[in-house]
Formats: sequence, C-alpha cells, structure tokens
Amino acid sequence: MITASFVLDVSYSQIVIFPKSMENPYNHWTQRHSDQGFAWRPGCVAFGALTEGGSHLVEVSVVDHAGDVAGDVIRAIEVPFEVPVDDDIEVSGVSGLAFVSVPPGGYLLRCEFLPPAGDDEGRVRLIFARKDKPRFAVVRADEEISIGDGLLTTAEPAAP
Amino acid sequence: MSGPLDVAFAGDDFSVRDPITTLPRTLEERFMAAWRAAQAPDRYFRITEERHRLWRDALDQYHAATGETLGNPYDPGLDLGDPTRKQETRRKAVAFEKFRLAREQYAELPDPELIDFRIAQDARYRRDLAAQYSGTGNGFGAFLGDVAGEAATPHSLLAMLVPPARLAATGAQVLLRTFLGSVGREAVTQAAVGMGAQAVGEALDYATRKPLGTQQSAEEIGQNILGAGLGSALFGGGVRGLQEGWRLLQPGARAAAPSAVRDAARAVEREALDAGTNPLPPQATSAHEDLLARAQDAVARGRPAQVSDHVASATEAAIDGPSLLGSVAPRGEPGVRIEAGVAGDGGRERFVVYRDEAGAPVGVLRLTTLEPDGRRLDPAAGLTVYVLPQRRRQGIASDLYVEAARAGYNVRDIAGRGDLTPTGAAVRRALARERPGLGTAPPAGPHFVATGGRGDFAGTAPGNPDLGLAPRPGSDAELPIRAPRSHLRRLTGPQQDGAARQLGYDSAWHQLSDVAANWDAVHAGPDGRLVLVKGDATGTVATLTLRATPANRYWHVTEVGLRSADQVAALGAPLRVRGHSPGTLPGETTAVPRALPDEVGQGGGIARVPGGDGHAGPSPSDARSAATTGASSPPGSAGDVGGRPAERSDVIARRTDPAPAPSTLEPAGKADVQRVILLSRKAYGEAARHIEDAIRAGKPDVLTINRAGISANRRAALRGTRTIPGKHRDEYPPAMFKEGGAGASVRPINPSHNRAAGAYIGRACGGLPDGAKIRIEIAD
Repeated sequence: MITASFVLDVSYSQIVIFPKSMENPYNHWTQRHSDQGFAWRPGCVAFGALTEGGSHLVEVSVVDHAGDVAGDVIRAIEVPFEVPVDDDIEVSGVSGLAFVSVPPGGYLLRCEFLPPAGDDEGRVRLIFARKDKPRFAVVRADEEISIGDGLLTTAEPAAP
Repeated sequence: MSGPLDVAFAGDDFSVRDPITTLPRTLEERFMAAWRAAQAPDRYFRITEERHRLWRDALDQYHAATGETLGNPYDPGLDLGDPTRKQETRRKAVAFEKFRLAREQYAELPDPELIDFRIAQDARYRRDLAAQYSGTGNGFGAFLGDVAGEAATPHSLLAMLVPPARLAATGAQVLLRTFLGSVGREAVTQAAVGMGAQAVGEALDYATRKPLGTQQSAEEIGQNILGAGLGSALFGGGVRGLQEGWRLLQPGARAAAPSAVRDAARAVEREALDAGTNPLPPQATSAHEDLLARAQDAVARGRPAQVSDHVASATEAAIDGPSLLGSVAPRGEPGVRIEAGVAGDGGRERFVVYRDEAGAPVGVLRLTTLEPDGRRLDPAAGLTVYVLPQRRRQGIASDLYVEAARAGYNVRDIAGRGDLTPTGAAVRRALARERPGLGTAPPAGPHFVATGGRGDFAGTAPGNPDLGLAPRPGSDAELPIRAPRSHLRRLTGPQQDGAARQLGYDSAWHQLSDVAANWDAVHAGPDGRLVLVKGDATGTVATLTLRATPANRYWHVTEVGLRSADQVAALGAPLRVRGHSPGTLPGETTAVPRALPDEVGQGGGIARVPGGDGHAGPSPSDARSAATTGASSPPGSAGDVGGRPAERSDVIARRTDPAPAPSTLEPAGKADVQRVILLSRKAYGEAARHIEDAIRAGKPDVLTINRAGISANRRAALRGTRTIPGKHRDEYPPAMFKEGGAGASVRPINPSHNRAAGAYIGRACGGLPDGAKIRIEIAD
C-alpha cells in the first residue's frame, strides 16, 4: 500500500478528483447528484463533503483491494476511476487543490468521510483499489444521503 | 374566610382566630408557626406585596361589577425615590372615591379603606400565634422555622444576593485591614454590613408599619439589628475560615481533594480575591444601604432592581481625583500612554494617562505592580481610575484599561468586579475586544457609548457615538448622526433585520451603520426629517430617516428601512449627492466593456474580456506549477503536504499553496477584470439569486481572488450564523475573494445549487492567481 496525506481547503462542500490535464474539470451538480453524494462523469468525480467547507485532512492510498469499510467511517462512496498515463491526479476542494501521482490504470475509487480529527473540520480517505472491480456504490450512507431510484452515473461539466 | 372583606388573605390557617388551647407537640408545628410568622405582612416588603395583591383583587372585583378598569396604586413604576408618591396617592384617592360610589350600587364590593387594617390584623395574629408557641419547649423547631422563614423572604435574599453587599463588605474591610486577622476581619466586616442593612430595613419597616399600628419597639429593633450582625459575622467569618483553611493546605493535599471540593474552593478563593482587591471605599456602605432600600422597593413592586449607578457614584466621590491627576506631569504628549508618576514610587507604580489635544491629563489609571517594572499587578493595591467629570462617559476609562491590557498588565484579573457597574461593563467589553474570546460582545454589533447626560448611543467604534455626518438643511454645516441606545431595539428589530437582509446586509444594525457612514444621497423628508439613501436609485435602496435634536446639534436615527425607486422619486430631488467607493454599489457604470455575446466562451460561461485573454496571467498549468512546491520531485519522493508531514509519500502529493499574490492587493476595481463569470439563474437557482440580491444591495460584483485569506474570511462571514439542516450557508462575496469575510451576505440555500455554483466558480477561477480580478454577472 502506498499512501500520502495533506491538508486541503474545501469550499462549496465538495472534493473533486480529475486528471491534472483535463480541459474541463468540475461537475455540474443537480439535486439528484447532491442527494446521492457524488457527481460522476468519465475522468472526473465530485464527492459532496459532510461540511459546508473548511480545512480537511485528506489521506490518499493506492491498494490492491479497498477492503471493508471501517466502523468509524460516516460516508463511503465507490466509483470507477481511470488514471491516465503520464498525468497527475488533481484533488480539488475548489479553493484548495493538491496533486497526487498515482500509477496509471483503472481503479475502484472509494471516498470515505471520517469524523474530524485535530483542528481540521473534516477527514477524508481516498482509496484507489487497482484489483477491485470498478462499480458505483454508496457503501455507507449517512442521513444526508438519499439514493431514491438508483444512482445517477452521468453528469455534465460545470462549465457549459 | 369570614370577615368584612371578600378579599382573600394568604394563609387560610390564619382565618381561625381562636387562641390555641393545646400546646404544640411536634417540631413541625413549631417550625410552621415560626415560618408563617416570619412571612407575616408586617415588614416593609411583605406589606407592600400584600397591598398590591389585595388591591389587585379588589380592583378585579370592581372591574367585574362596573366594567371599568382602575390602576393599582401599588403597580410597578412607582419609585421609592419619589418622596411625594404622587402616583400612589392619586390612584388611591381616585379608587377610594370610585369604590365609594360603586358600593352604593354593588354592595358586595369590598371596601379598600379596610385593606391596610386587614393586613395589620393578619400580621398581628401571625406574630401572636408564634409568640404563644415560644417558650413552650422544642425551641429548635421554632428556631429552624424562623431561620427558614427569614432566609426565604425577599428582604433577606436581597441582602445576600445584591452584589453591592459584597462591595460594601470590601469597603468596610479597607478600614479594618490593618487591625484584624483575616477571619476576624471578615466577620467584623460582615457584621457591620449586616447590621447596616438591617438598620435600613428596620427604618423602612418602622415608617411603613407605624400608620398600621404594628411597629416594633425600640428594644425589638435593636435586637433585630444585633441579630443580623451576629448572623452575618458567623456566616462571613465561616466563609473566610474556609478560604484560609484551603489556602493553608499543601498543594498536594489540594490536588487530592475531590473535584467538587476543588471547585468549591476555587469559588471561595475567587471571593477572597475579589474582597481583597476591590478598591471600593467605605463610603460604599452608605451607598449600599440606599441601594438595598431601592432594590427592595423595586422587587416588591415587581420590577428589576437597578442599583449599580449609585455605588459607582459613591466610589467616584471617594477618590481624590485631582490628587491622582497631580501624580502625573501636567503636560505631555496627547493620547493614551503609560507614564511613571511624578513622585518616587519605588518602580512599582505606573500611570496610564489620557491626555487631551493640549497634552493635559483628563483621565488616569493607577497601576501598582508586585515587582518593580513588572507587569503583574498587586491585588492588594487594586486599581484606581479617575476621569475629569466633564470628560466622563466618553469611553476614556475604557481606553485606559485597554492600553494597560495591551501593555501586558493583568488589569482584567484585578478588575474582575467591573461588570457590576456600567463603567465596568464597558471596560469588560473593551477588554474583550482587545483580547478576543474573553467577552460576549458581538464583533459586528454596535458599541455602546455613554455620553453623560445625553444618554447612551450605539456607535461603530469604542468611544465614538457618531455614526456619520449628514447635512444640515439651509447651511453647509453637517451634523453628526447618532442612534440612541434606547431606540436601537425599535430600529433594529426582527422586521428591520429581515428587510436589511433583503438588501444583502447581515442585520439592520449593519444597514444602519453603513448607510449613516456611506450614504449616496440625502432627501428632505416629512416634518423636517432627512432621508439618507444608499443604493441604485433604479432599484430597492437602503434608507435611514433622521430627525434633528431640539437644539439642532445632532441627527437622531428614527427609522431604518428600504424604499423602492418610486418611493425615492416621490421624495423629490436630493438635497445632496455624493460619490461612493468603486465596486461597492450597484448600478455603477463600468469602465470595462462587458463581454460581447460572441466572445462568451463555450455557450456563455467564461467570457473573454478585451485586454485580457480569458486566461490572463499564468495559464492554469503555469499557475499550478508556480504554486506547487516540490513539483519536480521524482515519483516516490516526499511531497509538500501543506505544512504537515506526510505519513508516507509513496504517492506523490503536492498540495498547492495559494497562488502567489501581488505585493499589494488593491480594492477591486473594474479596469483590470481578467475574467467575467456568467451565472445562470436557471442553472444555479438559489445561489444565483443570492448573488444577484447581494450585488443589488451593494456588494461588489468585481472580486479579487485571495485564496490565502479563505479560512479567516469564512470564519468572519459565518460568525454568528448557524447551520440549517438541509441547507448550505452561501456567502457572497465568497470567502476565497478578498472582498469576502465580515459583512458578507450569508443566506441558506439549496446544497445542490451551492455545489453547482461553487464548481462553476472554481472552474472559472482555475489558473488565476491571487490578486486576479473577476466579475460576476447573473443572467437568465
């Protein structure tokens, strides 16, 4: 397992992951996206944060298998994610951003929101699992998540 | 109940008038007799209370019979300080006459002339009953009942609870400090206070009871005073004994004590510190006595006791102010400074001096430190502050305290009692502003400024009651705008707050202070009033209505509101118009050409602006590279983790610090806007409407990126707001812009609208460094 962690300032209650060279990153949120906790389109996924904003401690790990969701995880969402060759991945909180270098390939990306620790207002774990079958799943839902008629697995870019 | 009156009396037990035929047998019987006797309406407080109740009952019956409402002569609003008791006398005279006439028609109505008689009769009976029980054995029950009854009377409770009692104790202690040991000194002090307070109560009682014929003899009065002194001495000495005992305990033994004991000990230690450091003079005792009488009267009449001004004035009277001012040089540099005294003081004494424009001292705060040139103040010496009478209530004392605190002196520890007086409260607020987190004053709220006989005013800065200036019609002069504190509740009520929020303000106070200082136009209003207008005259604008004070010295704010363009037009041509800060008002003509439709990139999202290229400044990748530390780190090396060490760095993680800012961040103008962001109402719903409303209300539409300040801005903008389930608090200007922060409009909106707008703004600002300017527009 390889890991890294950093502090990310989050605004507008979202954490967005996309390749650094992507021309039109960020996703447009609809009510249904907001209800299910994420907005996904190929190459770019935005996860809704638990808080309106603030600093978040983000831990990124690349593993073979994501494993079980730990007991202290409040919300866990899984989506497919493709890491292109020769490109960093940008983790953006809209107001803050960080780059992570992840080996290229197809991943199951799990985003876990955990209770805050220390001075940060949120804690997020991004797990890139290379040997798990990519899927869309809300593995653990908190009270703000409402799936309704199933997951919406398409989204429009933020900028039209 | 039998008797000539159909009004109810407290304690139905006492409707039985037969003498007791058997001796009380139980502790409970004696306890209850003593308890009831202690509550008999033969003390000032109980008589007043009973009079009020019986009059109310009688007046209710009068109202039921005649339909007419009469005022209760003992209603709150009457003041003991009014020796003529005009209102009470007048109401009683009216009521007596009304009752007399009404009773000719409604015989069942009670005769109010008999109320006092029945009160006296009831009191006498209760005392007689208790007296018959005394000396019949089992005196412990009577003792307990008497103690409980006395302790439960408001009369006694007030003596214990009214803060000046403690202050007066301290004052007396100053006299006795050098003669007695700590415990004995406290006991004697408390005895003096108790006896003094009791003497006042007895004097009141005597004057009140005499007309009823129930007054006590001189011997009884003397016994009461001595008893109060003895009780106070035992209580006060006991508390001090506990304090001293705790202090003598070894630290280890203290730490081993249960937490409840430690907490209690801290409380009594605090009391000891207060008692030992409060500089009140003995004259406070007499002030306390006066206060106690006033407080008793206020509580008896059902209104809050207002006590603190009197103690403050007594304290001031005892300070030798001119002498204190003489301790510093007669001339010096204007302003507030810490100076050494003229006389030698061993290096322990410092003076914080407020000097007027001519350099003459007008206020001084004396500090005495524990060590020469130290910053820790000597609690025993306390603090003494004096301000020339003509310069009082202008915030000078607060300035002196703040300067001392700023210099590192622990004035707040010593001035812990200051919150008992208006001056002390002002000091506390001032210190809280100086040391955030210590006080409760809302940072964005008004500062209250006392200006002597003209009352209290709400100001935007400590010590300054003027909110702005407005012209005086018919002349070139301008008069200060002021908001009397007494009007503030009406001016900034929930309705005004709601209207202000429509305009993008946080509150009506925010609107009031902003318009008073930054009005755009002044119109003549009705009846000589003035209407200040801020905002685009083609839309809804913020207004203030002002009325001149009788001597035409000030404008007082009489109304905070909003008006439509038509309503403003109806006021006629403005008397005066003045410019405004760029970027802060709606409806400005812009120096920057708006984006043409064919220049709007990809369906009207991010527009190119002539003079820029839509990606002015560094390209996205450039900006990121420039802002990324460790960008050249090879895979597998440690990345920047935002000031915190990476746990492991096999994955390269490089948090980008905010893009480098220009050397200065100028206010957002429009001449150098690098990108225009068009937000659609349809796509971004509540977020777009919030931005539109905020801009219309005067928030800037040109914003300066300042990611470095986002945390502080977010905290400032959201301070005082609460999260609402199912909503996000949207800020405009957003926190990531320099114009955000305190004063930003905050509105709860749909989370999906917030996220969508945020993603769009984030995308649009991608690649722009701190200091870059964007303009936000709302479109269909």
